[in-house]
Parts: sequence; structure tokens; C-alpha cells
Amino acid sequence: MARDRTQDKTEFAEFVAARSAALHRAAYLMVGDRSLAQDLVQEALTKTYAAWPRLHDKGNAEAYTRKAITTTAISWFRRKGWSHERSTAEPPEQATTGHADRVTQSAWLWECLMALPVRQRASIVLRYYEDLTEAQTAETMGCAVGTVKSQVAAGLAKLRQQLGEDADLLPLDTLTTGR
Amino acid sequence: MTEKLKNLLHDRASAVDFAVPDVDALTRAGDRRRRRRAGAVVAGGVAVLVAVGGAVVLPQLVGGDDSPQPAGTPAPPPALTWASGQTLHGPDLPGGQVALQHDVRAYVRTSTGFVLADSDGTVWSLVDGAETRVGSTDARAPHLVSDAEGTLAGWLDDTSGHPSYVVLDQSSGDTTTYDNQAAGAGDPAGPGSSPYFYAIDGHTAYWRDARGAVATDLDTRKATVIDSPAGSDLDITAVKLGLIAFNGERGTSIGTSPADAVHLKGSFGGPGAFSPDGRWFTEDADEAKLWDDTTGQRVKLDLEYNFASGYGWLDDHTLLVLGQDGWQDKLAIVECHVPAGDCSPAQTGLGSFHQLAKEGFALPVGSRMGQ
Repeated sequence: MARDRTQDKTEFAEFVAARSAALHRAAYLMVGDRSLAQDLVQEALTKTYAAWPRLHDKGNAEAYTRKAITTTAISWFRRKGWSHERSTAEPPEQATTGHADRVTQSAWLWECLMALPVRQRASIVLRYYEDLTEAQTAETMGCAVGTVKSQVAAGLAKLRQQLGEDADLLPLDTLTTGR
Repeated sequence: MTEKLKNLLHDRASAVDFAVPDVDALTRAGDRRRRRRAGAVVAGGVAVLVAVGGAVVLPQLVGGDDSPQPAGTPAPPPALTWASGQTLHGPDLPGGQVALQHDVRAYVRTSTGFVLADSDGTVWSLVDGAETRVGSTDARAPHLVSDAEGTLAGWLDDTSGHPSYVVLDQSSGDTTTYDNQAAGAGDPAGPGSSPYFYAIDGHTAYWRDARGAVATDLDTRKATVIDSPAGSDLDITAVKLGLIAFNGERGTSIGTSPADAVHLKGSFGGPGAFSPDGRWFTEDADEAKLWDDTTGQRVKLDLEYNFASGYGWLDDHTLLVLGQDGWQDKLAIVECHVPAGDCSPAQTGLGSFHQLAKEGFALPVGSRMGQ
């Protein structure tokens, strides 16, 4: 048993060293705050290590941690009411130049992304940053595929509405994907 | 163009540096969590009573481990479905729909598949696209029950003139008939109490016998009287993780017994549904209504339909609502997220209620629409 635990710790340490940077980056996109992202990854990795003996295929560890990050982020935002606060907050003032430089565009899109409800933001991050399929995103978020579709569509629609003339930043083809 | 959003996400993410976490601290915390889990008395969610200021208030659900399940378990059938005629529809069904060999008057979902009743009163089990006849029920007013998070479904079989409750384990295909309780344990046809199958919650069935509403352990067949006498079909409208929704003169109350049940403010009673974790309750009404079961308070939903009725759940935090603007307008199925209350269409253009009623429209609630 002691040997198994030592082996678990060794494998887990290798996993953390290899993947923690990528996990932090995804967590940061979901919560928009460096310190909160660190807390989120720490919590998710603790859950992952606690579940390590049940992860028969250690190749699933990253998917498990990503799921823990996502569901924990949604849970934290829900408990603290951040989702409501942000979703009802006024969007940031729109850039007026229309063709502002890339830095301005990035900052503007970031602000709009952070103003989305956490589920919409998480689904967009998983689909467009992590490049997960709708089915993988649904598995990660612990919801139905249909929910992912509607969350992504609603999130992109809000972004597009807020971006106005900068709406070409968004993958327009996705907006027309209906059911 | 379509790459811009991705590029911006990658640029923003890569601009922030993070230190490698302290693995020793993580493993120590993980070990503590393992020990706590091993010592936990609860498995999954159970209902406990919470005493505040000397008064027993609404049961609160105590979750077990909220860590995600490792991959590898088969996906349950989708929650967002509807039936029209001989077709089961759903965006997450293979090809968006399943052609059936029989019409659907009522149906329910389990973690394994669907259980359907046709216009002849025949009950069918649908697993992986294959239909199997599993029993019979009232053709005029079919009524099925299930635990959507479990494998059991049930119905009342009165076709032989001797009413009996039937429970199907959809994982094995086995059906069990409960018509031979010991004397005093209940005769479903007894005087003063017509038989009615209220709900299945895990391995406990709630139905009515001569003594009133009873909870029957389906493994031991031991029955416990919950409410006596039970007078109408809506004495118990839903059960989840031991929490019971009681329907009374004031509307719906929620608790583990009528004595500790807490009234839901603004409820008028009627069929309802708990979220899978039991935290939320919705009531079937012309206006979509949602309550937080831990407080009994209403949760506001941001809906703009003239008619809207909550009827089921996609997951712990996503309520399904049937919405319609006017009698001739097409129905929509709407997802509402709790507790934020924001809603968005999940499926639109289903046809008008009038039109669908002609075709035979059903949602996975176990009864005919309008029944």
C-alpha cells in the first residue's frame, strides 16, 4: 500500500509538472483573475490527487482536472453571485475608433468576455481555447450537449452585440448553427 | 477571421505566468480528502433535518463528494427530448430523432433509456433504439414514473382487474410485481383509496394503498405509511433523495414527512419536479415557478412567454421550461439556469400546442399532456 502511495505521488508530481501551466491558463480565461485561477487549479489538482487511485487510465487525468476546474469555477461563481453581478453589469464602453489597433481590440474583447455569465464564458473557453468538441465540452461542464450549444450561441451573440462594428472578431459561422 | 477569437484567447492566456504548484501540499490535502471520504457516512446525497432556533426547518441536502466522476461510464440518455406521434425527438439523440414502432401517449426517462406507454396501454422499454414490451397500464390515462438518475421505472397495472404496481429495472429488463403484500401492508384497491403510483426515488417506491400514501422499499417490500389518508392523485407530486413534495390545500410543501414539510411561498400545488440533486423544485403551472428547497423561497426566472411551465431538468442547475406566447404560437423548450435565472431557447418551432395535441405530443413527465 505504501509503495502504491509513493507511486501515486510520483505519477501525480509528473502530471503537475507537465500540465499545470496549461491548466492555469485555461483557469485564468474562465475567471479572469490570476490569484483566483491559482486557487482554482490548486483545488482542482487536490480533487484530482484524491481521485488518483480511481483514475485507472492516468491519461484521463488532464480531462478530469479540466472538468474539476470548470465545475468548481461555475460553482464558485454561483455561490458568490458573481455570475449574476457580471451578467447584469453594463458592458464596458465600446471603443469608438472602429478599427482600433490589436491591443485595443484584445482589451475590449477581454472585457466583454469577462462580462459574460460564467457558464457561457466557460463553454466559449473550452470550445475556442481548449478546442474541445461539443461532446467533450458537455462532459467537462457536466451538462448536455444541447446546453453547450445554447451557451456558446448565447455567449457569442452577447459578445457580438456588445462588439458592434468589431463583431468580425467572432466566428460568425457559429452564430448560425441552430438546432 | 474566425481565428481572431482563438488568437485573442491564446494571447491573453499566455501573457500571465504561474508558478508550479506545491505538489507536497496538494498531496497532503488530497490524502486528507481521501480519508474524509472513506470515513463519510453519507454516500451520495441524503436528506437531513436542520434545526434552527429550536424549530425544524426545511431539509437540506448534504452532498457527498462533488468531485467529477472518472471517464468511462456510459452516457445516460439525453434529458431534452419530446415525442410526437411515433417519433421521439431530441437534439442529442442519434440523428436528432428515433422512429418508434408505436405511438407515444406518455413516457419517462431513466439513466438507461426510456419507458413509453402507447395508445393501447402497452408499456415499452426503449434501450439503445430497441423496443421491448414490458407490461400494460391504463390506455385512457397512462401514468408512468421513474427515477431519471436511476434505472427503475414503474406503473400501475389494472388490466386484470386486480390492481398491482409493476417496477421495471431497465438495466436488466426485469419487471417485479408488487401485489402480494402481507395483510395490513396495503391493498391498492382497498376502500377509500384508489391505487396511484406517485414516484420512484432510488429503490423506494411511493404509491397509495388502503392506508394512504406509503413508501415501499423495493428490495425488502417493507412499506412505511407516509401520509394517511391520502385523498387525491396529487398528495405526493415528486420525491428526490428522500425529499417529498406534498400537495395540500395551500399548495406544495416539501419535507421528509407532512409534519416537517415547509410550504413553498407562492405555490398553488400541482405536478412538479425536483432537480437531480434535490436542491430546486419546479411546479407545473401557467407561469414557470422555481423554488430553492433549502429556503422555500422563489427564484426569479427571466422569461418572456405568456405561458411557461417548468417540467424537468437537464442537470442540477438547468431547468427545462415549455413556453408559448399565444395559443396559436409555436411552442419552445427553454433552458433556465439556476440560481441566476437567465433563460435561453433550447428548442423552438415545435408547433402550436393545439397542433401538437392532435399529433400526440408528450414530454418525459410520465403523463399525457393536460392530463
